[in-house]
Amino acid sequence: MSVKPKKSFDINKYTGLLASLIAIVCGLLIAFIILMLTNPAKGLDAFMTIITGGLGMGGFKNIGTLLFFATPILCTGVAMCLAFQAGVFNIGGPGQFSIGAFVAIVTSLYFSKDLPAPLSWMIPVLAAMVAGALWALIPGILRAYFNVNIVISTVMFNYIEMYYILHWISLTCYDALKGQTRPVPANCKLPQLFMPALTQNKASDIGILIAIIAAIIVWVILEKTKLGYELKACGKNPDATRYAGIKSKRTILISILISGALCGLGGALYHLSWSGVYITFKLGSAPEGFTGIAVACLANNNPLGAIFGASFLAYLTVGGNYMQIFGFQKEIVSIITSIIIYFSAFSLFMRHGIERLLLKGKTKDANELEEENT
Amino acid sequence: MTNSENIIEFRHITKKFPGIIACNDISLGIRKGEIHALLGENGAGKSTLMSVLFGMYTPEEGTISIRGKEVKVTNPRVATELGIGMVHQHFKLVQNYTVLQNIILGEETVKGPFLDMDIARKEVVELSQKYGLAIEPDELISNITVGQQQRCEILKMLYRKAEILIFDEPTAVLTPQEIDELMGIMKGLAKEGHTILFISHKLDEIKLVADRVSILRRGKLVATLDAVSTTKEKMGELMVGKEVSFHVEKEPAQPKEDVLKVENLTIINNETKKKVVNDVSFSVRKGEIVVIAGIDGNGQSELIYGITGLMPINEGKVLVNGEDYTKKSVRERNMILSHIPEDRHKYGLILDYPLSYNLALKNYFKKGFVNKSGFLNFNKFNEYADELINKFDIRSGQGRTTMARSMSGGNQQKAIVAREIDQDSDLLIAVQPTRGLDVGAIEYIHKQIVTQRDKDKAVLMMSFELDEVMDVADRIIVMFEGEIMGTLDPKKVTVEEVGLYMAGVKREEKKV
Repeated sequence: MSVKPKKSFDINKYTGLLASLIAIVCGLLIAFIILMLTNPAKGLDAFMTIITGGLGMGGFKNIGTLLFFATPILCTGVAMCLAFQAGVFNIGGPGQFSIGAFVAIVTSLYFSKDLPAPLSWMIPVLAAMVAGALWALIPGILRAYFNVNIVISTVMFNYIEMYYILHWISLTCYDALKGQTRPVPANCKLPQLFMPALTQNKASDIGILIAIIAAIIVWVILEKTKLGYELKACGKNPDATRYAGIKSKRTILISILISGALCGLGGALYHLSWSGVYITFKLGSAPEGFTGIAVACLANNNPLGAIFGASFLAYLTVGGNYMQIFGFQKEIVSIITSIIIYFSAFSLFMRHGIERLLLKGKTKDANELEEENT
Repeated sequence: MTNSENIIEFRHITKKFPGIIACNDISLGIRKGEIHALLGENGAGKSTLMSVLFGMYTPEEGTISIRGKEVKVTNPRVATELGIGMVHQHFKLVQNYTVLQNIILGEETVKGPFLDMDIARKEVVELSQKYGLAIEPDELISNITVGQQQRCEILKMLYRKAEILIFDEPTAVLTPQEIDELMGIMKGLAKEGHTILFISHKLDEIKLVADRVSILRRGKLVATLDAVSTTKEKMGELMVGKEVSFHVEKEPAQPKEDVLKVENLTIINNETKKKVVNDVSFSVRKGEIVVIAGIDGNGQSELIYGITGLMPINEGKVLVNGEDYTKKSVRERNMILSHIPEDRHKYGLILDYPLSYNLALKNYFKKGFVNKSGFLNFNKFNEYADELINKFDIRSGQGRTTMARSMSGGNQQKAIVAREIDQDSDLLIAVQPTRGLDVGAIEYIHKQIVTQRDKDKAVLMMSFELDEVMDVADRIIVMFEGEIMGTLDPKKVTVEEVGLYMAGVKREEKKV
């Protein structure tokens, strides 16, 4: 007789979470040490401020700020979850994000500002997604048809974007006085609906809700659909995928298209927000793109986990904004997040460790196993 | 009890892995100068026991004595110092180094800061002459045959002054002639006073070469017997714990019309520009099993990949049921053929998918498994998985939710066989379907293949094991260097004859 599958306890789900938690704790511990070394007198206070995420200092309205920071990195995080699960190492997040942001701004300035309400913001958002997807498609094609390493090509595309975008901004939407992009017309910004009331923050909008919906949709695609079955199979074993008759070129292109679109979405939601963000006229990649990798890492590539990963990193960022009070640079938070990312990169290693601990004492005699099986 | 004759003494060795006891309280003495075979199914613990001796695993309990002295073998370096050498199943050679360079690697002879190859060369040549291990010291590993590579591995051990030699399934990759040579070499080594431990699950070889045989089953030592006086049947029975039949029971084939027709197929390797498959034509009919025999690397794998669409064809045609499939996609081919692939981990399974997902790998896109809007029907997945698990007796820890990675090799293979046979295609392609499996599982898979034939399916099989080829085939096609050397009738040829075709010595006259 075959053994009935047990529904109750799936060790893998818990070890993934546990590994992320351990990574976070280790990261925070080392961060604490760094803070103490930099400024022993204020180190503890600063650390407590990061831990409490500024909730203690700014009151409830910081929730709004937190959600504002979480929105773009949730989008890029989900983008990375999908790409990584499909085995496509899209490191082009910053480029796809900025292209999305730029296209959203330009579309709203030149096209949708005269359109009625939902279209005025939806069109820039959709345009940004298309732009992000197309920008990602080029390295995708290079990978699928010419076998160019996708890590290298997406990184190179970040550089191309970095220079080109300044050129395009200067041609289209440059505000010479402030050295940044022109402000987005108010009717093209994201609707605020009940969000300001909910978060006690008048700059809150529905961006985070759109990002969460995107995360849920991607989770459903990955877990419940035929496409997800194929994408994940491709990520886990491309040879077996080919053997099963799945077209791997198509799978690569689809995953990078969706991934690019999500990064573009992140750029749009960030720049169409009410918090007044602009693309400044200087060289550099959008950090939100890279933070997405950290989010995916913390989330173990699970899009639903990314909601918590993004919120957590946003939480640290909010706390980090108060660092100057204690004489620290706010970049100290970047150091902490990087340390956490380093630790979460060990998450697989930690999972094995945890599994061993859990399995200890459960060693079965081979003969007992035989009896169970027969 | 201690025996002064024993060069190695295992006492109560227990080695555990998560969820399993690989070696369970094994006590065993090995005499100096004997060839001692370790026989057992996959996962019986024979390789683990040898790994413990060679210092790759530390046992939880028990001790090892060598030459009467208790030792702690903590790593292979310690083992080497104790005079223990091991030829692994997968050779550990540097491909772009020469034979000589490989042999001395790690034990280089030097003059000041410089290598002094001359001393080493002299020593290696002496060793090779003494033991009849013919090698070409300056040939690159990548250019020599598997048999020569194995001799290089043996010389590596001898060069390190090993007295206790462990061979881990050394014959798996060799031709019949090479196997004979190896047996001779092993006997010669024993005569010179070396002690040989020989892991195998091939009873013939053990009968031929071993002095004593220890049989392991599920981590326990079942018996240590005199290899010469014990019958094969007795050994087989002790190994699996039940009687086994060594012969595949089957009625004569009743072939009907052609299902697969391969015409002038040629495949050129992209890098070497060599014709790995050279103008190959044959057909497989309904109700017969055609087996491709040959030594590994003579184009058989490429031929199969060409037929199944995993590798592009340069010239020629593949016809199935009269329809041209040369240019069709893998998915289209999968609709008419089932393929048990050569490498179950590379092609056959997605190891990090649960069993139910793996069983649906060829069906997930079909009606019932997926609805019109692209959502998977997991009830159907589960039903189908349970059906196959019951029908084919696939055993695993957590049933259909078990990750393929955590299943045993035999059950992984059973899962693939179940999936492919259940496709009910006209053509079944089975590539080394029993590789690395134990006697029980082999018997089972052979039975399944014969049943398919009897259901009027066309079966194309490929195998390196000559016994398997002779037993299962209705017709044998022998390949050598990408060409078909002959089509043989297993009832009319001997194993040795097939061996000659495989080695390229003999060739059938081309029919006009």
